[in-house]
Amino acid sequence: MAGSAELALQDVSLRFGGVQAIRDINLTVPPGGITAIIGPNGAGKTSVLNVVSRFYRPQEGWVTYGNTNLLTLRPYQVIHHGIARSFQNVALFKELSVFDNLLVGADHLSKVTLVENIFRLPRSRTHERNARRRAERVLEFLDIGHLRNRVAGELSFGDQKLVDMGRALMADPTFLMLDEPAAGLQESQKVWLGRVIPGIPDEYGATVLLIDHDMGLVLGVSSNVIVMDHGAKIAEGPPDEVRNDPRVIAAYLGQEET
Amino acid sequence: MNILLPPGRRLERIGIALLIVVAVIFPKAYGGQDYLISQARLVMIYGLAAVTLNLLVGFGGQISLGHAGLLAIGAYTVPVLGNNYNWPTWALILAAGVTTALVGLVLGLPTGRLRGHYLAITTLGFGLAVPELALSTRVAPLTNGSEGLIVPTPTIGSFTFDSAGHPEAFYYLCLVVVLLCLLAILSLLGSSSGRRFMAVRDSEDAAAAMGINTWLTKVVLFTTSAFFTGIAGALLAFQDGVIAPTTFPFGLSLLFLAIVIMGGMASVWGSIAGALILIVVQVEASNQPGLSDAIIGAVVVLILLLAPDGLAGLARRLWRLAAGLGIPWSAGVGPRLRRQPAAEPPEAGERPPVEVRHGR
Amino acid sequence: MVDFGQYIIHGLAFGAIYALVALGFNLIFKTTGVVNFAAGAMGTAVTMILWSTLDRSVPLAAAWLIAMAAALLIGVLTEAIFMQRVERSPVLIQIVVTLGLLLVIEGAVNRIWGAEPKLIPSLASSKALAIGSWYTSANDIFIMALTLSLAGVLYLALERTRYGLAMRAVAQDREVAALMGIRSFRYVTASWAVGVLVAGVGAVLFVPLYGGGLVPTMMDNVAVFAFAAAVLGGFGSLAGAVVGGFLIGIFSNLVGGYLSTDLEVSLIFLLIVLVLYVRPQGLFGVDAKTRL
Repeated sequence: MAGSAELALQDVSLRFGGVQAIRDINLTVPPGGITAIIGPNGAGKTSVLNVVSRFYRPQEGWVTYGNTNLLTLRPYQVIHHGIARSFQNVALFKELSVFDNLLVGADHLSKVTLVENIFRLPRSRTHERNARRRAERVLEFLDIGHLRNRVAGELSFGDQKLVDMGRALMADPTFLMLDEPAAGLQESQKVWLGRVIPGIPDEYGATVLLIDHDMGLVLGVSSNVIVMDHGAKIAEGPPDEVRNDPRVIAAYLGQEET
Repeated sequence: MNILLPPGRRLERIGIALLIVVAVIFPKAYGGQDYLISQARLVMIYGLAAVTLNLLVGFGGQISLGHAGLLAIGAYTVPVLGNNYNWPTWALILAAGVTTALVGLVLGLPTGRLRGHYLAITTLGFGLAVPELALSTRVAPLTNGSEGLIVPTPTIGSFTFDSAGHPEAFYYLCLVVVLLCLLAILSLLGSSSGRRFMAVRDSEDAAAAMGINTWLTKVVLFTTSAFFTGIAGALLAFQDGVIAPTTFPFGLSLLFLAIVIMGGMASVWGSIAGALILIVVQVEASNQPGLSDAIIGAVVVLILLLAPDGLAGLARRLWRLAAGLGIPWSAGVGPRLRRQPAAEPPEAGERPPVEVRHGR
Repeated sequence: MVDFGQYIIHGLAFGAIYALVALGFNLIFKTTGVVNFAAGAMGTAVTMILWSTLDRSVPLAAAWLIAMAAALLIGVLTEAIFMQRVERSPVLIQIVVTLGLLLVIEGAVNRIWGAEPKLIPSLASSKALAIGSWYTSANDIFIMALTLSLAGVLYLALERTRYGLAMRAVAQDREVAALMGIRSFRYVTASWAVGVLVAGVGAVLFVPLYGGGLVPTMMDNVAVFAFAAAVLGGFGSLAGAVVGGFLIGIFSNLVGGYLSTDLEVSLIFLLIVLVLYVRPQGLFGVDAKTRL
């Protein structure tokens, strides 16, 4: 898979009926490294991810990843260009085992046909072997190997979030979007997440774009922070600058600090 | 060979193995009782049809209230082609599969937009339309209307497998065909294609995010399910000897749904066991004229109220109970038991890793 | 050669019956999300009860009251005994439960009343009535009028009364409604009761209309067309049920007249697929997903 590229949103606006979710935003995420988007609830952070994943079509603006105009893609094509994501409300394949959930993440990497699968022709077997090998790596990386045979729907929310992230990693992304990875995790898991995430660009060669409310996590892992409020970008910069920016503090006033 | 069966589903494998053993022994144990052999064939045929329906609704998460319609297409293909052209039996069976697959493909096309109750109604309409068309005077030249068509007897070379003269031979023919289909379906389910169906069932959004074209997957699902249904239909045609529109009433579609749900959604052995049970019920109930449908309906409702996840769900729960009680051999599904430790990721170029068991 | 307008007029009366049964579906669907596939059979059972009371020389008005009371009871019992248990189960399970009930009810009706056709008197004269160059009958007009009135009454009840408002709240979100102090359970039961009642009315009116006599399987085809009507109009929409019903009535009659009666179901099925393809939520339905 080609190397990581720059994600850019230009003059993007997104409306739902009367609600303006994203307001004329200009955003770039440079390749390599970890960028975070923070902001109070309703700021439009998840909407940005959903626009990039092509679940929503913005009324205005351009969205590009490297040389690709993402707006020409259908949702299932996004991953072929290297962009994978996790979900705020998890969206695991609840009836499948954790291991199978991971395998699905890698299934897009090969073009095995149905007939090949039925007769277990070589390409099918090779794909299975490679996918399983990759899944073992991911299980180890996230330290969830002991959950491999559990039915995904039966896990605790925090564990499900880890599997969700693992599934995205399985897809061999060059750009990984994590939607509130720390939400619902226990304190110990958050700490550990803070150690795992920085390893992703090196281990998997992917840029990380992360959305979260947990200030400690965000400020600890990111090299660049973008702050949104009411659908617009209000600040951007390295964590320390952003944390002391008066506009950012004002936006969060009244919100509980995590 | 581990790879042919859904990995790690020990319960499923035991169930299937048991059924196969029973199926192979059956005619030897009950040889001479032609009626029983015939009913046993029906169990296999209905079992296959139920499995294909389960593929669609249990593994694929779709809805179909018109399964009898697909069966009818497969069934009619045999006499229509067999009486007009001299095709060998295996070709007729394959043709039945292909024809039904094409119809299934067409049925799957609107699933981009249709779901839930709308899909239910559409498939219901389909299931009703097929026998109506077969009956109608416009299509009568092909289907011979209400009189139906006589089905040529199956042959391999010079050996005839007619259900009257050689009931056991025909039984084994059915067994072989059904087993081949089941093998193919199980192989499919344990592969990336099977995972794809289940992913779309569980979360279309996540599936799309993982690169799955959900609409195409559903079309492939309908087509594949229909293919095997067509084969079941062909076997049914050979079994009955005569095919008429009245062979495929709405009640038959409902029967298959009942079998699937009773056996347990997304459980292959459950569907076969369900077929066994409901055919037994049907045989007993046929002693009560006019009430047989009602009895089936009553059985279905009762089972749904008491055990909505069917036989398979029940078995799974018992299995876990046994695991919880510490009975050693039941450790296949235990929720809190630790499995083998993660294999060391091999260096590039090394020999392949240890075969890892996974799945439920 | 029967003329085009005549087919339409004749189709309208049948359409009214489909509309009634579809109203019954939609009412139940609105509050519980369940499609009552057994509605037709329940209607037949109600009609059989009517016949039994008439057979015992009970005057028509009283017989109707008894039959309608029976309909309400059937609805309430079905909801309480069966549907409550499966209300959180997947759609397919609920559908199959109602289908199972359909078989049980039909079987019971067959056992209790037998299969010989019976007669039910119509409420208005069935003598041919000429309107311009077309023929209809007082009964046909009465049926259409009754359907529209019932639909109107239901609409007013839902939109203009407190109880209707409560029922709509329950339809939107049962738990939140309960938190607001609404006894959701009562409204769910009420919608089942009224839903079956309406289907029962449709069944009773159907007997003299179609002329085949009251038999246990009488409503099977009607139920299919009524589903088609509900789907066409959009599940959960009262207006949709009525419009859908009349449209299906006209369409099926046209098909039967110009092509062949054996093609009615097939072509209706095709019509539904086409309509749903263009407008997945039906004509009046409100289930649009604003994706992409």
